[in-house]
Amino acid sequence: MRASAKMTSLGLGVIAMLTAGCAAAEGGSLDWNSFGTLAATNARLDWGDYTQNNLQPHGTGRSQTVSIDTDSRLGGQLSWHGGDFGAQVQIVSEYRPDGSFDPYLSWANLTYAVNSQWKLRIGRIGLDSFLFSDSRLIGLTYHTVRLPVEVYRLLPLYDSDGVDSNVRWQWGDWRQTTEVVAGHKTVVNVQRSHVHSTDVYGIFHTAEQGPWTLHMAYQQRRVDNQSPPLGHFYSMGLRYDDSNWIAYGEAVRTTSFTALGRPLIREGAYATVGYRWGVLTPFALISGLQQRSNSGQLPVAQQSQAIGLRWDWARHADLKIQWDHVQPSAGSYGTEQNVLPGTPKGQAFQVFTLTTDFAY
Amino acid sequence: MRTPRRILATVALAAILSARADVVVVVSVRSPVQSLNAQQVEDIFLGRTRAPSADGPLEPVDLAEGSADRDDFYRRTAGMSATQITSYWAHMIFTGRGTPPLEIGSESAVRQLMSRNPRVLAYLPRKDVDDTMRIVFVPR
Repeated sequence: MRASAKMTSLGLGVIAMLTAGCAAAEGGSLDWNSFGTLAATNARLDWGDYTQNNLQPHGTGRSQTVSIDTDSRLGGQLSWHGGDFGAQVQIVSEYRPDGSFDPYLSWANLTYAVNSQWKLRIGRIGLDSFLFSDSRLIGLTYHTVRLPVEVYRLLPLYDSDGVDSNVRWQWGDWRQTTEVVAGHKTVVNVQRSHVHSTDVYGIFHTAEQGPWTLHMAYQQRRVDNQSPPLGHFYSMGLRYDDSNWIAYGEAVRTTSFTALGRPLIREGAYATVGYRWGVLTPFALISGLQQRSNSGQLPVAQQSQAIGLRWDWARHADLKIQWDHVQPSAGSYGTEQNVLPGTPKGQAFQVFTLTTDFAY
Repeated sequence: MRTPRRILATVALAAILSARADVVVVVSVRSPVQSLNAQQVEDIFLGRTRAPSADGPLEPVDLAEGSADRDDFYRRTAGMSATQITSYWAHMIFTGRGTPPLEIGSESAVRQLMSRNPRVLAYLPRKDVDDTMRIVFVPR
C-alpha cells in the first residue's frame, strides 16, 4: 500500500508540475502520445501456461486456449517541454500480477538539460538495460510480436524511482550515449508479496554509427527476498538496421542468490533477422535461456525458434503474425507457469500469435 | 525491339522521379546559418542534437505525413523509409529521448512560418524555394 501511495503521489506531483509548467512556460509544448497492442495468443499445451513474463499469473495453454491478456496492452504518455526543462508521465494498462488491467505509472519524471549534451532526470525512470527495454511496451518499435521471453525475463527491473544522468558524446563517427542511474523500486509479484529492490545502480552505454547500434549495460541491486541480497546484471547487444535488413541480437548474464543462499547464475541470448520488403517484413528468431549454477530449485531453461511476418498496413499501425516452437530443456519446464503436477519435463510446444500495434 | 523501348521508359521514369524528388534544405535569409553538412541535417531532423546557432537552436519542421517530398528527404538524408521513420520516432517519443519536428501541412505554410520565425529549418522542393530563403544543404 505504501508503495502504491508513493507512486500515486509521485505521479500527481509530476502531473501538477506539468500543468503548472504548461501554464507558466511561454513557448513550452505539451504532447500526448498513445500506444497499444491488441493480441491473440494461442499456446498448444494442456499441462501449463505460456506467459510473457513471470509477473503474469495466467497465460495461454492450460488456463485458456486463446489469451488476449498475454500480449495486449494500452498506454499513454504526456510530455511537456519548455526550454531546458521537461516532464513526462507514462500510464500503462496491461495484464498485472494481481490479474487486473489496472493502469499504473510506468514513468513519471522531470528532465533538466544542463546543456545540449547533458540531461538529468528525477522521478520514475525506465531502465535502459537492453536494446529494447525502454520501448518494450511499444510493439511498433520491433518486428517480432514480443521481445524474446527467454532473454527479457532476465530484466531485473523495468524502471526505478531515483535519478539519472545522460551524456551524449562523439568518438570519431560514433555517437555515444552514456547513462548512469541510481534508484529503488518495489514490485508486487504473483504471490502478492512485495519485493523491494534497493541500491539499484546501473550504467548503460549506446554507440551508434550509420546502421549499427552497440548497447552495453551493467546493473546491480539489492533484493530483500534474496540472500545475500546483492545481484548483478550484464548485457551486450548489437543491432544492424539499413533500409532493407534489420538484424539484432543480445546476450545477458545475471548473477544473484536464492532466498536460501544458493547461487543463481543465468544466461540468455537471442538473434533475429528480418528483411523489409516494402510494407512486409518476414523475420526469424532464435532464443535461449540456461542456468549455470545449481540453485537447488528446478532450473528455468529453454530454447525457442520463431518465424513470422510484420505488415505495416498503416503509418502508425502494424499487423504481426508469429509461430514459435518452444523447447524447455531436459529436466525443466522452461518458462511455463501453472504446470500440472506430475507433468513430464522437457516437453516442446507451439505458440501462435496475432497482434496489431499502434503508436501515435 | 521491346528492350530499347523499355530502357527509354525507365530513363523517362527516372527523370520524372528525380525531378519531383529534388528537395533542398532551407533557412530564412535572415538566419545566420550559411550551410550545414549531411550529418548536421540528419542529426537535427532526427532530434539527436538541438543544433544551437547564434540566435538560438534551429527548429526543424516536417511536411505532412504521406508527402512524397518528405519520404524522399528522409530516404536521402537518413537512408530511412517512411515506416522506419515512424518506428524511429515511436522509439524516441516513448523513451523520452525527443519529439519529432513540428509538422507543417504544406509548402506554402512552411514559407509563411519561415517569414515569421528565422530559426525554422525546412526541406522543400527546389521549385518552391524563393528569394526569402537560403539553401543550406542539398541532399544527394
